[in-house]
Amino acid sequence: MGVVLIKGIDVELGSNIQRSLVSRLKNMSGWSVVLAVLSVFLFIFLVQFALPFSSDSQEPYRLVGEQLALNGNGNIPACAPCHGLQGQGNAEIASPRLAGLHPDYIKKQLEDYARDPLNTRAVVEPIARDYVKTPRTYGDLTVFTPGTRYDPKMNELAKMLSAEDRHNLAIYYSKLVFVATPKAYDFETLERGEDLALRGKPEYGLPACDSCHGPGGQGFGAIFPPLAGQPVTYIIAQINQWQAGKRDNDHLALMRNIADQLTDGDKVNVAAYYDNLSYSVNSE
Amino acid sequence: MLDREVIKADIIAGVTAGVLILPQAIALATLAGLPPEYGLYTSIFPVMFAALFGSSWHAMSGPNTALSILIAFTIAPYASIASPEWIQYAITLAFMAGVIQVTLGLLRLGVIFNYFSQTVTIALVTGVGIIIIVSQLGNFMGVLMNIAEPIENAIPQVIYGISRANGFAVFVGAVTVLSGLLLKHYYPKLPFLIIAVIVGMLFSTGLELTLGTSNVGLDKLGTMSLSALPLSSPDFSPENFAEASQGLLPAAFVIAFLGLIQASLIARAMAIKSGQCIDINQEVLGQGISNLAGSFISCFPSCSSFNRSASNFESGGRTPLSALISVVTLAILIVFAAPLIAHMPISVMAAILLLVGAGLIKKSDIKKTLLEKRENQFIFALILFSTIYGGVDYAVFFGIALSIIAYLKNASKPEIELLTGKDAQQYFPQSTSVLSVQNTLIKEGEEYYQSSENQCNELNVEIPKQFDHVTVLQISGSLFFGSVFRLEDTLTDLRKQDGGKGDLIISGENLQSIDSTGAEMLVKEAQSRTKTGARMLLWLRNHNHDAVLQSSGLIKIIGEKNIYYLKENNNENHQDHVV
Amino acid sequence: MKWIFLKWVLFFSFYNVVLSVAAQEIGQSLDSLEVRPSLVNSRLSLPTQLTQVHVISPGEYFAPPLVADISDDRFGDMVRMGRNIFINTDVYAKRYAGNGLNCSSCHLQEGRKPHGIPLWAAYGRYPMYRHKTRTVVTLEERIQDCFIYSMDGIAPTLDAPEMKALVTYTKWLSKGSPVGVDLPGRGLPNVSRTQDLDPKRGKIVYETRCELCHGKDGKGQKHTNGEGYIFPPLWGGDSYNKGSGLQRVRTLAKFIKGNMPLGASFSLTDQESLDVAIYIWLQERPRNPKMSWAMDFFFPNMAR
Repeated sequence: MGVVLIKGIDVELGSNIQRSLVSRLKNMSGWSVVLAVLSVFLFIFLVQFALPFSSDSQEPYRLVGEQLALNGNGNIPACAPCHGLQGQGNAEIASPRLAGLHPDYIKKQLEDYARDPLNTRAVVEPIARDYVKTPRTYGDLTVFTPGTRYDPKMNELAKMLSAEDRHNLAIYYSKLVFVATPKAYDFETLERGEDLALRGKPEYGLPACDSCHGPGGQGFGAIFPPLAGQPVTYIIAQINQWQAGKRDNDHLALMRNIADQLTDGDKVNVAAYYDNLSYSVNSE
Repeated sequence: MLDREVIKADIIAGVTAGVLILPQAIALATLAGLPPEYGLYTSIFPVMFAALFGSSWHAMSGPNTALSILIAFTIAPYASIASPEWIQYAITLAFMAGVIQVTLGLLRLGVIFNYFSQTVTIALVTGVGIIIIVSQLGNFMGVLMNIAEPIENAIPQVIYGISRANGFAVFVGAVTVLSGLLLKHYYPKLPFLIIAVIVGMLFSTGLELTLGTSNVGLDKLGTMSLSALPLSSPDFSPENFAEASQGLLPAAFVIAFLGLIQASLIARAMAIKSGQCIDINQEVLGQGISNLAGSFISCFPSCSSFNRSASNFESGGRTPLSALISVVTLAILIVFAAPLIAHMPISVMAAILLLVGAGLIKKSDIKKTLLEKRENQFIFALILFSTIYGGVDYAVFFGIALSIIAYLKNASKPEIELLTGKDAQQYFPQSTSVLSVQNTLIKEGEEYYQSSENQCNELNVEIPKQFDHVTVLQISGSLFFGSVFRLEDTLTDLRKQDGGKGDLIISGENLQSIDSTGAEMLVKEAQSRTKTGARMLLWLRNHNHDAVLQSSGLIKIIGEKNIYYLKENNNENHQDHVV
Repeated sequence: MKWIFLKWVLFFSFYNVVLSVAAQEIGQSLDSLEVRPSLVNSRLSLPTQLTQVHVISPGEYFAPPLVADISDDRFGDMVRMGRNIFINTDVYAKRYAGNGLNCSSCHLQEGRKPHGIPLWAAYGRYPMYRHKTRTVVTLEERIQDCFIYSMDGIAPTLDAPEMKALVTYTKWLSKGSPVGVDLPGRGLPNVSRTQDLDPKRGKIVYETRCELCHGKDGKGQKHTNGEGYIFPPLWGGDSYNKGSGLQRVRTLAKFIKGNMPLGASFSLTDQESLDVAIYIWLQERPRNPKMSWAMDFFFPNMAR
């Protein structure tokens, strides 16, 4: 087939220069053509391994973020003492795992921590609402605020971070390896927790946690963070925050509606279920 | 052996076979109650193993109609159709049947499959064809039926179902059947099944585009979940297997035997056509290995298929390479045809099975076997009846028993003749070698007698008086425990004639075998005659039977000098008084 | 004449007084258990209008059995198989499913959610007369229709193992429910329109409320491992076809009103639900199997 191809070129092109190239190519035997092509491919293939991982252009950000997280920077204290050296979180102080979270999620949460609750720059959407006929739940909002998140420690810390700091930290933490250690709970707790996680509370209209947070609570995208591998106390504390209205940075008021339908027992059960799952992220 | 021409012929034959097997594989898997992908697995892996390990170079293995019906009827009491338990039972059956077949092959028992009577096999296959036709009428009409019932209940179901039938399904099915029959008649060289499938599917697609899919309401086959290497394993665990073992264990034997009966028939038929020497034990071993290995790759029991082997041979396949090529062709075809197969209407598949079932009822074979012998008609009717009413498994056992009985009946008919007078003369020994006896082996008895008689007359010998009341008892064939009763009848008749006092010459020149029972019979007769003073002589062809006769004491009673042997070479003119 | 006028004035004022008293009463008459923490504490964000709360009280609806209570025998195996088919249809019923939806994409929360077409409310009503087919249909035939239209696939035969499994799961889920009775929470809630439906308003509703999960082009979002959808597609080749029940705008609006956004049921008004329903109805999806090719080509959106 190579011969036919070259013949075609020979017929089409008329100039002397092409002809000499073509005649040179024609003089090559078929096998040497194949060998040449293969060696080109081999070269390209090997070059990939010779060069360092050039696909990871985030590496410089990750290094800076690592520095910031482990050692802090001037006024900014390090993240590691509360969030763990591997970003695994701390159950005693209800500090979340950051390892393996989506970087955009981390960035948004840091922004929400830093936002002044009294100056949220709310945006009013011009939708004509028809309030005459329908009873609505109180949870709906015509006003979509970006939301704020209340935490005494994090509010001050987050204000100290610049946009670059947030980006670096997010990149660093998103690439950390995390392997959960499942903890044992009694089977009734786990059964109830699994029921909530996989089926929700149908009679309340409460959807399953996994329907948005991904199968096994592994999270989905930048909007739905993982629940697996989060400390039990953190999950319970956050649901309480949603219920108390101290946190309202969810999209479309989804989590607020959901949190309002969870009893204290439900919170414990579902947190125990997620604490009991085997889960790992970023580990090869 | 594998030169370019043979390879080319094999490739063509293999591609043809691979294309041919596709509709049959799907249809036969559905007949066995399994999802269609299992038919495809069974058309790929066991075919490879049977081709590589079997002895015949032209026989092609794969799903088989009789085995599929058998599997469906065997597993039906224990699982719901196409459920995971059903599939697991089918795989376990393949393992068990494979073990049995491998054992038979290793024990060199393959030769027993030569003994099965042709009539029984033809009757079985005809019965299977009828079962297939009746069972597929429901699918053909698009009506749900309970086919596990006895056939006398299935036929009313079909009749009641006609009013509920989906007209479109019947229409599409009828088009498929018609096109298949027309193709078979006018273009016998073409693979009529797959063309009929294509015609049926085109017709159904046209109907759906014109009228709307859900208005036509055809049941479809559905998307297959195919995997490149579908590993599986037989399951003998107590909780899954114990309740079904009662039915599955005998069924495994039936499957093994039925598969090997068909395989040996096909191998021998192919051997006759091609001239290849077949080692039947190797063929048995190949079938066993294909079932055994297949049970680990999600295959149900399979065996050689006559129409595929015949078409493989007629397309020019000469070596097992054609089977391997057919496997590769089928694999490639599945990859491209799987989305199309998903939309195959079930009535098209039922039509294919109707064509296959009708093809199993071969009128010429039936006529030939019925006209051959009287008892064949009886055997045929019996086996056909038991297949349709009792099921293939009972029919196989019954058929094995009938084959053995028929064989014994034929084997136990030694020709026993009583000769007196002039006919008996040539057996008279002479002290001098005056009487010349033809020592050549003559096939027709009359020729022998005539020539000896002529010789007698030529030499003008006088017959000694003491041999007036002599009778010659000529025994040809086997004298064993099964045929002794005939000899007994004849000797009783003789005793009535001559009162037990006449001389008796036993001519055993064409006696092929004699066992201790036969020898004892002769001993009894000899004792009774010598007591009355009569003489007994014994003519034998060679010394093969000496051991038996010695141990039974016949030689002692008769006397060694009264035993004559024929010499092997033709031109001896005197008998040898050899003991 | 004067008396009539006075009667009207009195009635009108009385009506107003009653209403205002009622409004106050509503705030005070809420059961203490129904008061949620965020009602009591002040919220950081802008306050919303507090109106009558549509509470789905737990005692009102049928409670199906727990999955942990599926028995360990052959029946339980069939129930489990049916449940697997229900929540993961394109894997377990691959033979018959034709698109990326699962049964639980519409029969929410594994067929348990009141107002989310629950199975326990349907089982006791079959066999029933169905206007769509003008015949009495059994549950199996209804499931066949689901496969043909909503799953855009091939109908399983009535004796297929998948069909048996689904019917078994439905029966198990309905354990204890009365037969032939219209249970509360059955099917979908009612909607009624106040204005003519406007797909432009519907597009705004979609972009502000639905796009976050169902994607900008309505194609849903697949799981991170690429197998199956976490948020199902609403239109496009992988969604339900034009013969499906959700292709009726009113049905779709009822579904959205009672179930969507997920977790915030009844948060949209009737009109918003209808608007977004007609916006979704206008999008492209696989053709109606009931239509011939010619009809579908020339009259693509013709109602059945």
